[in-house]
Amino acid sequence: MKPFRLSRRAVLRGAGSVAIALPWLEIMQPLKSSRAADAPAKRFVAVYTPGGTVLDDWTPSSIVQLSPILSPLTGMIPNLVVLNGLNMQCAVGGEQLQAGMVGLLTGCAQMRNGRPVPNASLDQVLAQKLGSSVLYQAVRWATGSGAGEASDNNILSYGVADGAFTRSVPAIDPAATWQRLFGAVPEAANGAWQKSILDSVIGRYAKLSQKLGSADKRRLETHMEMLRSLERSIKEHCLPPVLVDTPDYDPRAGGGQDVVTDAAIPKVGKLMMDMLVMALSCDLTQVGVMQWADSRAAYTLPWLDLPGGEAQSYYENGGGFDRASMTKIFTWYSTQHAYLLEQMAKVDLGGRTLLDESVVFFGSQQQSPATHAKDHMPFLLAGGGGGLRGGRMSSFEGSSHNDLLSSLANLFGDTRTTFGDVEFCSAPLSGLT
Amino acid sequence: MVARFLVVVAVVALTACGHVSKRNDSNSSMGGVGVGGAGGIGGEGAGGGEVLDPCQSPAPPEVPLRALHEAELRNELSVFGQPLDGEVYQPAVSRLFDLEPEPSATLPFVQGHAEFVSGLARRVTADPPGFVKLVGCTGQRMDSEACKNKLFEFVINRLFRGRRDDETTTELQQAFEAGQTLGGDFQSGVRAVLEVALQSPEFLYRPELGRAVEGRSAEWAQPTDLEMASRLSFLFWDRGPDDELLAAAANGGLTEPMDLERQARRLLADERAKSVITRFYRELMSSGEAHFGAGASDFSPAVLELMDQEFAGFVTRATFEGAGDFRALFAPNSWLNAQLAGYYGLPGVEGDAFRAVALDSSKYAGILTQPAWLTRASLTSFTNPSRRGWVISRSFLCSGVPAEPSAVSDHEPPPVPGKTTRQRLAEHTSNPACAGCHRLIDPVGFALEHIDATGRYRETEDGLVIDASGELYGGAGSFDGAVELAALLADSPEAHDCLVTQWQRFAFGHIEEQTNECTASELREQFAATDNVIELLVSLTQTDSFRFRKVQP
Repeated sequence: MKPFRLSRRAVLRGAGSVAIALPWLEIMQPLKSSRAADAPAKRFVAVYTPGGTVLDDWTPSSIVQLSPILSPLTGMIPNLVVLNGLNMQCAVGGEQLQAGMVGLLTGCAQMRNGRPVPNASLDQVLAQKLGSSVLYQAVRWATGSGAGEASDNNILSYGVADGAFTRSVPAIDPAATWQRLFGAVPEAANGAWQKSILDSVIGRYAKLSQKLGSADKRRLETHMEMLRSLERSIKEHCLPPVLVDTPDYDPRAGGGQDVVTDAAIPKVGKLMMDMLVMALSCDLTQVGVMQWADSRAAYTLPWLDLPGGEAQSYYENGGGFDRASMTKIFTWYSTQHAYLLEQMAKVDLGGRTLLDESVVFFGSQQQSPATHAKDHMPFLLAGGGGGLRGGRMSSFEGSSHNDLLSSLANLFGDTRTTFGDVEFCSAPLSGLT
Repeated sequence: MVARFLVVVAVVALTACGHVSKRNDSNSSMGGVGVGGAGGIGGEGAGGGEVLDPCQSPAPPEVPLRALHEAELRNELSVFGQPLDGEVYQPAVSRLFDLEPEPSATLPFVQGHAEFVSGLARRVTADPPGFVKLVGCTGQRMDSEACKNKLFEFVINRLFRGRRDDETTTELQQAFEAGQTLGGDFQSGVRAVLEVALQSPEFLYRPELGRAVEGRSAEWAQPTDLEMASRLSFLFWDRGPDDELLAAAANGGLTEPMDLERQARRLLADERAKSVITRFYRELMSSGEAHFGAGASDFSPAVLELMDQEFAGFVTRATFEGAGDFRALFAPNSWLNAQLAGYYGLPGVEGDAFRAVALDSSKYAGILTQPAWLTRASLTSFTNPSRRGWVISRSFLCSGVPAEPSAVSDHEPPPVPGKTTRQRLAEHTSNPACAGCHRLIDPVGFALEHIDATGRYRETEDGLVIDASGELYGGAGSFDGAVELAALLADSPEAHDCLVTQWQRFAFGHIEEQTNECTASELREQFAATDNVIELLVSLTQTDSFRFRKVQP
């Protein structure tokens, strides 16, 4: 993964080109006459939550009547596609949890023997196509014997080198991520600072121009218009998120018990989502992966006030599975996802929102905490990128999740017809656009 | 004799040569083409009849709001003592031959400049001792009230060039507080003030509110003394006023012509005036980017840099030393060091330091044979006489021959064995469609054929005899080589007048339509009488165009 750094020029360029060029392009574009004319999607986000869901409380009866777990997403229905019945075949046969991590974005089986050549995960494939890096972040990320050790237990984003997977490592420390993204030139990247400066400068142009004759005044007003464009773009797109204090969050707490760190998860998760939205709206990156845990998720969720308190791998089969608690947990994740989508829908790119230009994939490594089954995966899509049509629930009973991956690549203008292990592929899904 | 000085824009269709004239609204193929005026060099003016004195009922000069151009911006920013190379964002500027009535701010400049000043302000505040010295609060801590007040004074005097009203200090204080609140420390307040100031119209432009003029109609205004301080310092220094000018303005000492003259002479005597003189002649002789030869050619960017020093040394000496007259521009001397003299094959110059060197008066003719511009007007190995002749015609004769379209400008014609460059270009003047312009400009360029594309003197062109003879259009005289061409120009009243026109454009940022005819005629008469460039520059400050402005509706 290329490291990326925010320069003020990048902020300005991203903002300026979006704010000023887009409305013009919109005007220039003919009205949509056919779906084939849809521009390729420009941004991709994958969100992982651990453990799957409680399928009976997840599956809606219809898109207008969302299920209990999905109910927090009600406000986003017009942007939402609920996918039912997809079978993640590639993740059957390996270690039950790990194979789901490996397969979710790669479409490849975990077991190496006799496997075809692995391919990079969808986020990496799209990042390469878009000329972007991947902003890969994880909350409460750890597993196995050593905290922070990258393994099949905890990695979703893969590249390929010399015929083997290479694991990306997520950014787990939100403060460090903030510093990396915005810290090199904090105020310069800070929209509030820029806005304050521009406000003062514009005030000076406004005041002086009133004292000048008509021709000179016109010249200063032209300059003032440029400053206003600059200000508008900053206000609308590129306000770096407030860096909330997270001294209570130990990103390296690993798999051990740490209830203080656990309690900080909501604010850390929100900060990571805010940074992701900021990075996407300012064109700092076009691809983001947000991982809400490793595959085991051995932590408590104290703010949910669950009976029994501490959980150890709370969705382990027979490990104290309690449907009501599970539903509560997965509903909370829906709430978080709704927040992300709402934030993306708030970014106005000149007539279109950030969400309109994006494809957001929401999924897990299995469908059920109790069974670890993978034949009815609880997947969601959101956004309008590449002509993706929201406000729908689609049944793909028995279809392979690999075909979903190739369909998603197609939304970005990639023409491949298979993704991952070809033995699990038939044809890209139809009817998404 | 007003008509004699009208510059007629050449309008000739040259389609057969691949040129497309910008304007083709004339049916005349020849009659519209003028060199130095309707009569041509040495020709009789088209006057006759009553001559109106344009100063009988003068019109107030239109003075559009001027934005700082690149040289001015660089000079103004140099007060911070920070390295600027490659960082200053170039404003959209009007240059001598690229003047627009109202060049507008562009988004890339506004954005890029915002980014630049943000970095500059950060560097300035990262160096407390440097900051204390910059604003002059010696002995105080940077984060003291005293330094803050000095900062505001610095902004008003240096960056706003003295312009202030009752609210300026309060506004700066507000910017300071906003920055301090957002950034959490004193330095952030300072940075905010600098960022705001350097993007303000008082810094990036030269606004003039003006005041009424006693004894003239309501159309007339004159700059305030403070605004006059800026007019003077930008004209002669390419930067804002120094303390002495600000003090003179505060004392009401920049209104009377004699006050302006005294200041003009002081500014011109200062070292800082030299770079303005150099910039004028550099822009006067500009034509394009240099082409560095591949392979065996030793003409390189490093050599060109030496040539630029030579050019600067030559034009400043021609202006400030000796007679300082028009003729000095064509004198056979230059400004060389050992390395550059060695490159030219000229013996007897030693050391790294540049010095005045007398040259062979049968070969060299001052600015006409300066390699800094001749190489830029040439292609890699092709001297491009049309381009060179066009530069001379444009710059010294104020001819309206249009520049060639950019599509053909970098075309390097293949060499033809046994033919000189001049012979290869014969089509330009034998083809009637091309001849309209090329018979005006090519012969002038042929006069310079002894200086090759890499700036060296040559007796022959690859063993072939060079024919550097020609005639100025309109029977204004014939010449053989640069030295004789220079003699014709040095004696030409039209060339004298043209230099006045060029200085007017340079000084006032005028396009032709805005030229104040009273000012123009006064300056021409004055230069014809004194024949001294410094005196011409001083007299620029005595004109209506400099002293007044028309009230804008």
